Amino acid sequence: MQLRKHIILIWHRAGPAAIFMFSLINHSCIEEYNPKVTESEHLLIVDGGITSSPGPYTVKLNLSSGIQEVVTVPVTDAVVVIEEKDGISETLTGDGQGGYSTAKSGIRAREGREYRLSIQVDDRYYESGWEQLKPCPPVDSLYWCREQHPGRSMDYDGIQVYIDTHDPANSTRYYRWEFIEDWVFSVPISSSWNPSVCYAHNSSSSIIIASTERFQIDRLVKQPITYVDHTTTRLTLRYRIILIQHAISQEEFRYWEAIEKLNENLGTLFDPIPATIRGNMRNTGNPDESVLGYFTCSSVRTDTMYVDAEEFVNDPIYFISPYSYCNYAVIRGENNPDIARYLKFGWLLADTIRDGDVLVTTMANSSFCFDCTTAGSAEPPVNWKPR
Amino acid sequence: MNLYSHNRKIFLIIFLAISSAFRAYNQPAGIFVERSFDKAPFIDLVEFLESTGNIRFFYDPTFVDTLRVIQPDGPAQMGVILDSTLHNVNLYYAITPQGHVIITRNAPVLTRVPDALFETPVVNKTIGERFSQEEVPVQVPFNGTQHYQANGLVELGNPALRNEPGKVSLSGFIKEYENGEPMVGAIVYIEELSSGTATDLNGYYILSLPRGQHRISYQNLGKETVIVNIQLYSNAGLNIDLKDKLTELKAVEIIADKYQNVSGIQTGIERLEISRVKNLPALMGETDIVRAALLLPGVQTVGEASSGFHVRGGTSDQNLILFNHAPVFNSSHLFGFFSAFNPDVIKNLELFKSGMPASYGGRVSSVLDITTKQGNMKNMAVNAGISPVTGRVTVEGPILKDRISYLAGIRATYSDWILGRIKDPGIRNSDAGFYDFTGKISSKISNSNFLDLSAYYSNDRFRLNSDTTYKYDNESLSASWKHYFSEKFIAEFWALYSGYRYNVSSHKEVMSDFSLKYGISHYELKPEFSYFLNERHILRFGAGSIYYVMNPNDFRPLGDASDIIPLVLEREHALETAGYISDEYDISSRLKLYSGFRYSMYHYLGPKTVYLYGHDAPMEESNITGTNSYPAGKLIKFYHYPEIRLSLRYKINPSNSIKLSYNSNAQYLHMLSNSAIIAPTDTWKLSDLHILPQHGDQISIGFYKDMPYNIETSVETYYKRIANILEYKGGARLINNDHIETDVINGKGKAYGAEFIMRKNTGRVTGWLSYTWSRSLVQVDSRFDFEDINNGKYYPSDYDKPHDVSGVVNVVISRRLNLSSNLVYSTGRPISYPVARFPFKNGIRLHYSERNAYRVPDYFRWDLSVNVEGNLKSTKIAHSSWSFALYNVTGRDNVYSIFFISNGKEIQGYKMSIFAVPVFTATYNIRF
Repeated sequence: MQLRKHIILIWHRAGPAAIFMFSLINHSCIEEYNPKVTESEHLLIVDGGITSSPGPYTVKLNLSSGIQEVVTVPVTDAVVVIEEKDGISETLTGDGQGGYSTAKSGIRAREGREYRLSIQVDDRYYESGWEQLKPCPPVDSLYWCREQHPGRSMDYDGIQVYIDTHDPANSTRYYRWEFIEDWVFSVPISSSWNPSVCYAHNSSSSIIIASTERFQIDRLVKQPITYVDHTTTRLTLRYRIILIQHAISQEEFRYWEAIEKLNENLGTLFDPIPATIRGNMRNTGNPDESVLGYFTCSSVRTDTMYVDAEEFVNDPIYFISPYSYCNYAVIRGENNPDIARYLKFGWLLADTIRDGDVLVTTMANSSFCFDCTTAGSAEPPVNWKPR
Repeated sequence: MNLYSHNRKIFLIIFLAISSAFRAYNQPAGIFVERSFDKAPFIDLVEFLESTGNIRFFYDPTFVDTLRVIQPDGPAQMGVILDSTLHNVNLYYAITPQGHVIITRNAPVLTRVPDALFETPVVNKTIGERFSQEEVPVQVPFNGTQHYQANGLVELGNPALRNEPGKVSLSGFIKEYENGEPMVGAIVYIEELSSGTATDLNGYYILSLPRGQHRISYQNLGKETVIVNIQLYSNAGLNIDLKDKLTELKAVEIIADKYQNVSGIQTGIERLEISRVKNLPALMGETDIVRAALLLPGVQTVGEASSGFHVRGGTSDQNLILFNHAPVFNSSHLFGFFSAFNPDVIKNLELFKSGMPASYGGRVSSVLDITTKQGNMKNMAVNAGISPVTGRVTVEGPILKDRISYLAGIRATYSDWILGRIKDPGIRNSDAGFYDFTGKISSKISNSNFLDLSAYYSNDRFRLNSDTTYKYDNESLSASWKHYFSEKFIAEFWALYSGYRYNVSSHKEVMSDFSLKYGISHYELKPEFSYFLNERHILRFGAGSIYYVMNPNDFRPLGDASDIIPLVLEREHALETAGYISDEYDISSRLKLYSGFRYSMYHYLGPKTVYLYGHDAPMEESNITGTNSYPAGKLIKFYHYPEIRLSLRYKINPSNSIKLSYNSNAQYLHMLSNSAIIAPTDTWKLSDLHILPQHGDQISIGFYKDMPYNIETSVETYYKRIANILEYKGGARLINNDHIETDVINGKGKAYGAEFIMRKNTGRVTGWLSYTWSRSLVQVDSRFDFEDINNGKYYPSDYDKPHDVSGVVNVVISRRLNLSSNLVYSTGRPISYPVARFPFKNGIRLHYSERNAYRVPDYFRWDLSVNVEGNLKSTKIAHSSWSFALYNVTGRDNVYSIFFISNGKEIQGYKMSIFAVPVFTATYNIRF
């Protein structure tokens, strides 16, 4: 009896105290850090590939730099050849800046055929293995779902873009996606000689890959592509995403998987130990030389989706505007000394209009606030379908 | 005369009496008194007798002032008159050899010391009893050991054999008086012979002595020393119970004391008492024995979240962690923050860094042997405690008093709902918890048969912000039967089972729902024998056989929506057998040699289908040339290694010694882990046709010195080589891979260093300070250069920390207050930075090639704790205590890892630390 009373007392007293103590504990802390990295290796980078879309195909050759350096050195006088197995081969033309392209009417990759890249730099000869161009199934559906994602300091509101795809022949199995975003945005301060509505552009750089090797059926449902949130202007007017789906080989998939593990999903307690990753390019005279990059060979399918701001009218997204620090002043009268004063502060002339006899001048603190070409282009992108 | 001077007189008289013990005795009593003093005052008689001769009377006048002589029969002998006069009034008289008469009340003064003290007694006695002339000599066979609780003289053995030549053995058990728990490492010492021994894990000791009289001291820190004067006739047994010293509530001293430092035979052994571990400042209030082991020299960790530890440059799977003799495969809870052992049930732990006895084997670098307590054989006791993370209760008591006892301890988290209040969404949407249970039944079937059964179960589950759930559990059962054929020949038979399982699953009603399971079971039978051949040789021999069954990868769909293709890899089976023999040889009083030989064999058995690879090509999936199928029980691959364990100790003088040791070890089981720390999906892999066993050897020399003020110091240096370490190729896949051999590669390791330690074990201030300088290097140089890591050159291992300093101080401020401080400083661990950035497919990517070329910033941490005991009444029902700890007092954000993230367009470096602020915790304990 005595024993039980004691134990109950302990739990009652300790409970609230325990919560307090636990909440004092800071979870793991991640901060930006720029260590001095003195080692660097200058290795050949092969960034190129062929796809099922018509050419030209480009291969970019550079020498890598250390991570503190900013510039890579292009390799300008290499001989680059793409050849089709039991078929034609074409030597690519260099542009003097490390880029090599096929001719417009040159080699065109065909499904089912195998292709190889070979490069000669000085007296070194590199080549890839024979890469087969596998057919790519179409995108069944490209769509979005409204989602909130928790973040470190706040929660994010926005849309998660998904796709569905499948291969009835169950042979594709390995996929990679890229996307191109274009969107309309406007600036808060109108200006007579600057466009207020522009088009911004972004092409994806993160690694988005998936495989269905573990599934019976080669199908992907609700595969996440990207998350567009309320901290950008993408969804404020009209947004377009062009999705490019690649069907890749198992070997290329493994390469991307290894790069992703070491480049992107880091910062956990169980980060993998970094190791050397090899692509598919080999120096035939010295097979142990590290060659960075990969000669990709994949057929593609694309799909496009537009998202308008109207679609959120019933459940609006509250955007964090990049224009929150914009400030403007309306000054009436010509030769108003206020204008000169504002100019001295570094403000700029945004607009002048005539209201009857009076000249009305608008001053703003940054051209970013009234000239949308500072963040985009006035010309719509190719194939843009307005609403 | 007052009472005080009366007593003083008596004392003086006794002293005189003793000093003239051999004088003649009876004469004064025979003096004839010719007159009659009947009814006269007694004083008159006294005056008369004193005037006649050399008689003096000594008495207190108040005794006799109204006394009248009774002398009815006329003239008589003085003795007769005194008898009749004094008898009725409760007065006694005694006559000293000098002829003086002393009159006392209530009892006579003894004028002689009992003969027994000066002559060889004929009868056996236990002190405390009055001697009686009726006792007959009783032979004391081994089974009839005597227990006693006080100082005194004890006769042991068969007196008839007292004149036989040669030495005899004295053995027995030393137990704690309060609960019957065996005392490990208690010292039995005979000063005049300068010889002694320590009790083993069962509290058993055996000494070889010449026959005759000896003075033996039984001591253990924190207990009252017992000194026994014995008369040893033949082989005999003597059990001793040691009582707690009540004035010292805290057994804060380390048991591996002076005796072990200089006299112990082995290098590289650390023994920690659990009470000492409990005083150290604990992270989150949880006493953690593995973290305590990290404070010892030669033991490193990769980081705070790692439960693995590295001993003298070995990998974390090279430590054999035994809990009641059964191995534990995953020794941590909750991502590695806490160890999986409940401190309330542990009795002590020993870490062998080198100098492993031949009875241990199966891992290359170390053995951490943890033994649990025995249940209290006398009374029921309850111990409970609560910390911010867990609550725990341990109950123990007798089932049959002094014969069978039980112990049951359980510890569990209650923190699920606390996690829900944390701001960070990663933690808020998580679910984590664990519990563990330890039980033991100890029984003494007879004086020479002991049976112990223990069970252990630990369970963890966590689901971080993602929807993948991780669950794992450890379980073990140990049964041991200890039989004493004689006091010199002891056998112990063990049957053990140990299992580890994990289950990773995701269930969101989508097609990718899966469950991934892993399991390994270990079944072992082990007979061990000890034979005390003679005073110079202790022989130990035995064997052990382990049968492993492993389920490496069971990947299945989960739920109706799942479309996963199951991948269930074949189970693996293996048999690991070893036999050993060792001899502990006292070459002389200064030189002692331990030589042990262990021969281990490994059979990898079917049923299994294995892949075959081309000989001159690297082991890659593209080089598979075929498969081979083996039926059940068929031998697929056989490995064997001889293992040598040698230790030599030379005692220069009682406070200085040199020790030298050499050992070799083989390991047939490997942990597969692709991260620097133990991850929840790490698995254990059996050696097979392609994956070779690891093996290593180590040579170690040490110099040990005991200084004044109870300070011990030692310096140990070592050099170690390891072969067949497993390293991983870039992009290695360890899950759902039915040809793991293509993703691993063998390397070799070397480690060397010097460990300095200074310890103070007694007094108000205790603790130790250690400094280790060490290097730990790995080389992966394959036949095929592209597989090499670091171009085939040696590179630092992930836990290579050249400088490591640990300081532990414990101050007993008062009997209720105790302050403890830890200080740890070490060089930062090595880390790999990318050596190149390259643009590829519209993003900037990183390339790594040189391994561990850089280091994170140095690690420094200071912890403090204060333990406050409840009031000190020794007879109250329950005793409680509070423990307040501040972990990382300086709030240093020790870097755990540095990594680079390429977000496509840019590369940004980050550093991550686990605890960037001081962490304060309070724990409450109560004991009934």
